[in-house]
Amino acid sequence: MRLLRAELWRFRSRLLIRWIAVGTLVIAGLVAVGAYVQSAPMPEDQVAMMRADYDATVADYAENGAQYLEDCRAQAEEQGLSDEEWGCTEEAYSVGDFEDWIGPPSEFGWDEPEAVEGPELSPYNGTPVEDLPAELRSEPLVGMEAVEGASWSGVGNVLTLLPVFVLLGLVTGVTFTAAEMSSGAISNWLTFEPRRRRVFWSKASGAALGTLPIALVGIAVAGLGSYAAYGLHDAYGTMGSEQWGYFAGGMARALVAAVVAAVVGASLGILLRHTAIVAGVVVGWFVVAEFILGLAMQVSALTPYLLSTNLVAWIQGGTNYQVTRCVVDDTQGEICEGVNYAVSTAHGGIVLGAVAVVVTLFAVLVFRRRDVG
Amino acid sequence: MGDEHQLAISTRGLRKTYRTRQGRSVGVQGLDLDVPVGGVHGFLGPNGSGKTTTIRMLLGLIRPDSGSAQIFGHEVPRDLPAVIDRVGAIVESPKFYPAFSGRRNLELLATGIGAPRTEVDRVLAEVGLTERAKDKFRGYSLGMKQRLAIAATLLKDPDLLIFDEPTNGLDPAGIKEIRSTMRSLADRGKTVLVSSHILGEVEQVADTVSIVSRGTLVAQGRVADLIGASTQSVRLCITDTSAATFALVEAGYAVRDDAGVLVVDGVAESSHVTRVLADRGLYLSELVPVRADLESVFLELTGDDGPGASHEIAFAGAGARQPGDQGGEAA
Ligand SMILES: Nc1ncnc2c1ncn2[C@@H]1O[C@H](COP(=O)(O)OP(=O)(O)OP(=O)(O)O)[C@@H](O)[C@H]1O
Ligand SMILES: [Mg+2]
Repeated sequence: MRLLRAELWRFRSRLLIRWIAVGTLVIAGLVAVGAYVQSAPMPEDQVAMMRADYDATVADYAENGAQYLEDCRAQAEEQGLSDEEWGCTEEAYSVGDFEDWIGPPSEFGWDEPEAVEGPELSPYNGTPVEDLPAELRSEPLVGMEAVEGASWSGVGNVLTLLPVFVLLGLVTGVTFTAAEMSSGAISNWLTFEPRRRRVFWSKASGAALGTLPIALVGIAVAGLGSYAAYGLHDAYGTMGSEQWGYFAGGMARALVAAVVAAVVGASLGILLRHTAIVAGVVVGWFVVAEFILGLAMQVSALTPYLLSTNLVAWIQGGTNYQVTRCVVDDTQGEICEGVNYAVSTAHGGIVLGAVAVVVTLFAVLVFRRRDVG
Repeated sequence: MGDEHQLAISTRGLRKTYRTRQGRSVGVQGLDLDVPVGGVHGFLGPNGSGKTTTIRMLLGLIRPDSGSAQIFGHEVPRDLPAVIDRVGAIVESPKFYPAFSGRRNLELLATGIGAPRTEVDRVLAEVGLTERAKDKFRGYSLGMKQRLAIAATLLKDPDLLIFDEPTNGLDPAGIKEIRSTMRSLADRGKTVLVSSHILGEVEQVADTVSIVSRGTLVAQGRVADLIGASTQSVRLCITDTSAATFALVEAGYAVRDDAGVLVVDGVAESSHVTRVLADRGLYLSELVPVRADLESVFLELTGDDGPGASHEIAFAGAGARQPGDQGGEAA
């Protein structure tokens, strides 16, 4: 307890950590400012331009619409396709409301999607899922993408940016411990408290407890600040219990992730002793494992185990990834389909939690036995 | 058991090797060290003889390969938590949080061990650092760093203080101050273990010493006893050196010519030398007794078999000696 008190005090006194706290606030502020910009209504002159476009198109269709449709049907016949297949529908040559023409306004919440009637369709080419071979059947979408409108809502924007605060938690943890390992201050400390496990846990929990308020304020400013910014433009949209629940849940899970990241950071700092080495390892991991293997080389078997995938799944309440799969079918020959796979929140939590536990326990083990110079 | 409690520190067969690129390097090789309770104990040895390695093992900072060590009868490092409050230590150069002030560093330690904050002011005053307490540790001079380190050890009011080369880089005034600090701690009934490769520094203040060379103990005991085992020399200035040499050799002394000055070894009473010469009508212009001291013992024990390190031994506090006065040759 005394040790933890000392560590928390040290946490508060560290200049670098104060700067990280300031940086966290600045970033959170920028998220809110971004939300303000995002939610701003279209400027007058741009609206006027689009209105002119719209009016011209309406006039054009009114005059020539029938002719266009006729031409289209003639082309379809030439190609030997049905009118629908060639896209010659009445709707194609009619203009809806101006609201549809300029697209939906940016809002913080989103409307509940209408229940879709009929068979479930593949998200890629609209084939009814039932008609596909089992290997090509997609798992239902989860998380943000599962709800039409959520992805481009203000809530969606905020949740997409929250991993930044998790990264800041990690950095805080690393700088909290690595410096004293490399400066040798730890050896003096150990002549006062030789019980290494206690020393380790006091530092890890000091990092967690110290990071908690910083991450809390950062996430709250980013989230609620964005909400307020949308409000300034009267663009709350629909924020029912569903939307609030999703929003608050995402922020709470991001906070948990940031605190755990601080513990992992403190462990890595103790393990590797230099901030620069930790930075190298972390960046190296993300470049090699996450980016090159996971994204560039599309090693899809790895995707559900990448830290980035699982962090997104954890914060956004699940995420999806797609793999193109082909099967040879007796009747249709080779058919290929983009298949959706879902990564659940729980999956994200378990993978991240397991990584955190392994890194931390390994660090305790090494620190307990290590010669301190 | 009772006997063991007379010892502040006791090691048996302590051994530590380091893994290096060239293979294994020996830090300490089967060290049997006994430090009695009370008084100042010098822990001497040339550079690289394993002093710091030994101290680190006693404090649980590094693990011995084999052997055992006890502090006040407690097996360390296993039972270190039980005795750590009675042990204050500075290992090599003092290491604190560089960006924090001296006071903040001490306050953190005090919080960690549950000592009252008022203690911080007390120990800062004790080492004379009150005025600079608000400055960052990074900006301290070497002497101030040493003082802060001593202040830190005093936070615990320990029974055993371990100082590893505490006067490294200090000016003569600083050295003197540290010496008197050690002395007064010992006079208050505490045990002080002070390591050094500088003999003169320890000799004046130590009650007992241990001498190590290449990781093993070569001598241990009271300073007076170790000196007693050594011979005494005098330096003579005389015009007729050859006649004097003849007379003295005849009287059973070992005589060397050191650049025109005669050095006579194995002298019990310098007045006897004077008389031998006077009997032959030879009169001295000067006779300087060469202080028989630990230094000669030290060099004798560590010089020849040291790993080429003996030349690194410095002679602080050796003002009475002349250059070229190599005690080692007296052996
Ligand atoms: N971390 C280390 N890695 C490898 N070898 C080491 C390490 N620390 C010490 N040694 C070696 O162990 C031996 C003893 O070193 P140690 O520091 O204990 O000597 P010392 O008596 O304290 O010397 P000094 O008077 O120079 O402080 C030396 O040969 C040294 O090179
Ligand atoms: Mg040393």
